[in-house]
Amino acid sequence: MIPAYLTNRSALFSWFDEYADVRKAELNRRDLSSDVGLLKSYLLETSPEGNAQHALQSIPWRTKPIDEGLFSLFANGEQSSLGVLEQLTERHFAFYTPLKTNDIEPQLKKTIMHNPQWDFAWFSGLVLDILWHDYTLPLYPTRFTKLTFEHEAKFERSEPREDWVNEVDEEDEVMENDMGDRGRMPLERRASIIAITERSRSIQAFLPKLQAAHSPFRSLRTLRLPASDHGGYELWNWGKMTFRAPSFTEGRSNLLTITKMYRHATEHIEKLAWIQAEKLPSIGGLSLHGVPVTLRFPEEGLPQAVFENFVQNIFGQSRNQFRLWGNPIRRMDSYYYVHAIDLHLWKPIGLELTPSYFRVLLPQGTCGNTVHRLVQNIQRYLDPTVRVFIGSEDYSNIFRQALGKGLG
Amino acid sequence: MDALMQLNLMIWLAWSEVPPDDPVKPVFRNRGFDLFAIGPKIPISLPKQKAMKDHLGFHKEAVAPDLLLRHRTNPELLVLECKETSFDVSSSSSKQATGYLIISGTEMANTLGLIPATSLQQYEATACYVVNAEQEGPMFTTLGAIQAELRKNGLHANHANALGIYEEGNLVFLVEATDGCFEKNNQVVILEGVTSVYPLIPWDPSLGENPEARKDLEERLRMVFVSHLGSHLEQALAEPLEISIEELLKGAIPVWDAWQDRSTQKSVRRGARRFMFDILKRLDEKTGLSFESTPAGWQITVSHYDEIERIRRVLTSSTVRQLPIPFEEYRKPELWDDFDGGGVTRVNM
Repeated sequence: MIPAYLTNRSALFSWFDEYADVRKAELNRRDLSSDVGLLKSYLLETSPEGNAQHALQSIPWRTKPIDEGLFSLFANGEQSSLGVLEQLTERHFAFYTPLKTNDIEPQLKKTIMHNPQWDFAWFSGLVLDILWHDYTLPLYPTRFTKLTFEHEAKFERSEPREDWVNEVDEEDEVMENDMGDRGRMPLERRASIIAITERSRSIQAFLPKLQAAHSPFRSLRTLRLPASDHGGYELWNWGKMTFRAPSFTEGRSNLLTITKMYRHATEHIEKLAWIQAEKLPSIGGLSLHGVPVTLRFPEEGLPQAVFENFVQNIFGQSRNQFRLWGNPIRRMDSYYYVHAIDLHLWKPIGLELTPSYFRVLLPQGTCGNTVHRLVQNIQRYLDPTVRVFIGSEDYSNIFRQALGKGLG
Repeated sequence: MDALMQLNLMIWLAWSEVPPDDPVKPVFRNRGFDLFAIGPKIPISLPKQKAMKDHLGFHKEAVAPDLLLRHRTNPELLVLECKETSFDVSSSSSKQATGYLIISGTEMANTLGLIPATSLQQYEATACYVVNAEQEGPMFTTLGAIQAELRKNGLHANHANALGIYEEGNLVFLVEATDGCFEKNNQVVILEGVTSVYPLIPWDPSLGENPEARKDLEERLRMVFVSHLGSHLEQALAEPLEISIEELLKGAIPVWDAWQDRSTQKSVRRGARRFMFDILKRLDEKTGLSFESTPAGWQITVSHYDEIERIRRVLTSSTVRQLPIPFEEYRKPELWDDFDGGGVTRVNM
């Protein structure tokens, strides 16, 4: 879909700008062509060492450099490009594609989630909430925006779980094809996908009450960042951004800010939480550095069945959204610890699991992105009200401070 | 509670920075103490050794407490030693206690390099034994007797304290034998809602046959081997990947070098080698991975990039996940750490 003659960065970005403008005009007319997709980006994490070359080599697609930080991607044997991969930081890439959701997401999810060199960037409700409060709300109080919320009580029943990798973002498809609502959430268990479109200030007037009454309103799935003119950029909790505005340049600028925030927060978490047991050469013995990551559930804790189903189902499947593998060790009733492997980078991770809290110990080198993935998935599948601490520092505050740095 | 569990619990109380309402209450940390070292070896000066020999009839060259805590702002050190039960002055453990009491805080601070040798700053040290419930009283009596003996002979004696670990329902609390550490009734809650902590220091199988010890070690080794192999497969394409069993064991067990019982090390090393061999053999049969034995462990080669995903799939299969690690029966050591007379100071490195 991306023309082959676009062989430099500025020509490509101009084409994306024009593409976004045309699609936005079609959206305004409710006349989006059925054979084209909205412009989308997917923010991707590699590793704390930022070995970009290594990560690029591991992609099962053909990469063709446009410049030192921009690459066209082609499916093997295909001449038309799947999209463009841009390196944004030493450890982060953005993948831009105009392909329809159905045509790109299943293979992209499989490629990323099954590849140890890559992961998506994960924005839990806690993080999206900061963007909402500190960015959208004060800057665009009277603009229409859209928030969607998502919680699925997947572990209320012990059953084979559907693989998130095979899911397609229904809403994108709906919007792209203008086919109306066709929600497909399973009915057997509690599940919520709720959307609110309203002026920012009005949403904030009732959102705290909704959150107090119904916890899934804390688990943001998407947040629309208003564009300067009209429309906006929908940021998803798994690092995707849908461009519903006429400018690629502006959306990319937002993406750069968000990436900086994400990077600062991740690196801050790694700096605090990497556990190192160092030998003390002069006196023998060990010194211990780093702090644990704690995820606290409400006072009553997770329901017993939910907790047990989670422990029994997650660690035995190598291909699940949590990307954790290991053998839980039952120490006593409702108390486990796991010497697990984080399948992004295949690094070790220690976990202590109880219905009232999860404790995570990150050995040095284990990607801080693991924490974001865990928080996002726990909000989505276990408890939207989870509170997260890196040592004694509030996870949300780390992002709030990182957002300030990201703006710099 | 066994001594290793006590040690892990004390580490959490000194080391962990946790949210305010956390089930773990890091009471040492909250009182200003940070974890300085696990199992440091503190030498006793020659004059002190001589004085011990002359007045007490024995001497020790060094002591190695389970934990050494240092106050963040005050010149104070807290020496922690974990024991399941108390002991009396006739026990060999009392020699270890004598060592903890005779080295002054200032000497410790100097020896450990906390202050310059020329510093006039004076450090206070407290030797504190952590024991199970109702043992703190007798323990404190023993420490008091040792202090009195030292002072009678004109020798220095540090402060002493004893803390008992009590469990009541879903609460675990520390009760101190003396006044002064905890404000309320000499006791403080350390765990609320749980009665265990994540074991930062792994179970030592030489403490005796224990299904938990076996499981814990198995899972640590499984994690380290699968993680190491799975994350280095790309390297094995370009040139053979060397895997050292000893390095993996050190990765799985941070205190591996400190395990003084060689037969335990041998048993674990042999079990780990067998476990790794079984996995590598399976990979060799089912994928494009080949391996050769080396004195240190294995040399791995991967034939083609396309094989890597298949290898990773086998590594995360239920077969590998459930493969037992054939440790031999652990032998309880005949000589139980003559360095310090018992406890879990095997972590000295």
